[in-house]
Amino acid sequence: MNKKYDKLGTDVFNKVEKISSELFTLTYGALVTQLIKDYEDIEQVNIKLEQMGYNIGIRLIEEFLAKSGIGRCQDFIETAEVIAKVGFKMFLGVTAHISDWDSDKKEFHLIIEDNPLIDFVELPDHYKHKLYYSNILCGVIRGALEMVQMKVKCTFVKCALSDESTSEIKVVLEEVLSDLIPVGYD
Amino acid sequence: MSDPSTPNNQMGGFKSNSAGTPHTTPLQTGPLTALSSISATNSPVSGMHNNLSSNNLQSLDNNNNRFQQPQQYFQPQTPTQQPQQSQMQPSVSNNNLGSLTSQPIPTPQQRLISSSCFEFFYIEMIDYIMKSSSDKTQAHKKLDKLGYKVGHRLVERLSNETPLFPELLDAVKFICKVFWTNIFKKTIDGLKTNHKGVFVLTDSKFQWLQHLSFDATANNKDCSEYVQFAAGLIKGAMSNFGFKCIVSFDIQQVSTCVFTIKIES
Repeated sequence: MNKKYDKLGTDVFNKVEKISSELFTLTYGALVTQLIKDYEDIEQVNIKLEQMGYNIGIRLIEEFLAKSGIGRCQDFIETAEVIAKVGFKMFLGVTAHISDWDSDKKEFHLIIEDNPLIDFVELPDHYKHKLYYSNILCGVIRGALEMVQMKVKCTFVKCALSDESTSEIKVVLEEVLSDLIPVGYD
Repeated sequence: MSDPSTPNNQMGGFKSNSAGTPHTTPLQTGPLTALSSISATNSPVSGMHNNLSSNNLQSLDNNNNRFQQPQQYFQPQTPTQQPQQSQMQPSVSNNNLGSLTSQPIPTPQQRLISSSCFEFFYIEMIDYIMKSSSDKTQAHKKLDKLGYKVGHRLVERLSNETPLFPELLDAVKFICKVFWTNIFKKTIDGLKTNHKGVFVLTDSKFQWLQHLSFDATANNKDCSEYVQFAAGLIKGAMSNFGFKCIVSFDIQQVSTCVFTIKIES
């Protein structure tokens, strides 16, 4: 299964229109700086980034499904693989790894070794372990999965900018929403 | 270092042959009038120095016949003359600096992301800035400032291996070509100048307006916030090259954007 999605991810990434990541990385950095200026509380910045990501996710899923041609996943394990190998590859050009499944298979860790968002970024010491710089990714995953009837909770557990070796996002499946209920968004 | 007022035509030739396009057309219409000076420098029959500078006046569009003549006239000289010029002028520090910086710094392999990834983010960013500002003027100011910061840094990375620009026009061309391509995967479609510090850049398919839906009945047809950031980008890039300027823009028809750079002296 691994190999299949690796290849699909590469194929889809080759197909989509691409630009150099620098503009994105620098613009994201400028926005985070602006957020820190606007909200004095760092926790608020994390929340705002997550919200923005959510708004992106609910739109991005459509493009993802259209371009990748992926249908319904059999189980949450497959969903995790698709996010890591196809989703990340298609939009950010990198793949992520899945690890640390819990016994119920409802919780996993997404390990991002090579995150384009944090190129050129260094966090000042007083923001380390407080600001989750790439928290927007959590929101994107949550928003996108909600559109395919999965309510998840995403949190950063490790951040490469806070002196840890990799970035790690914990994804917990809270419930599978019924197909019948239309999902509203803010 | 690259003071635009210093007339150094040989150095103008040195930079402008770097990659051929884009070139400028003299400004012939519009509110900016300095036509008499343009026709004088544009004439291929004037002296050698004028010919060197007329190279800068070629059309952005290579098929534009009106400017074929000076181009052909000048072309045979350009590839061979560049090394000679730099040898002949060892005292010109710009040339030396150029060769120093262009060799030892290895560029990391360019990393690519999906362009829709940026656009999704861009829409969300504009949305945030608009909602977090008290009025439109403040929002535009914020976007301009953000663009300025990003443009300033981005152009620093892009011009890493480029020699210093001896002339203002070369800096603007760099923005039209390298800078714009890095952001939008296309060059500016038209560049006009009055040779007095005003440049008019036309992008006839501005990427960030492409995916906006158009509702003829809507009250609010203003989408200038999606362009303001780009104006800031240009301003930031120009300031990195040492030119202080004002950038204004105008959205025409569906997705044509016209940026006007006014250099402040």
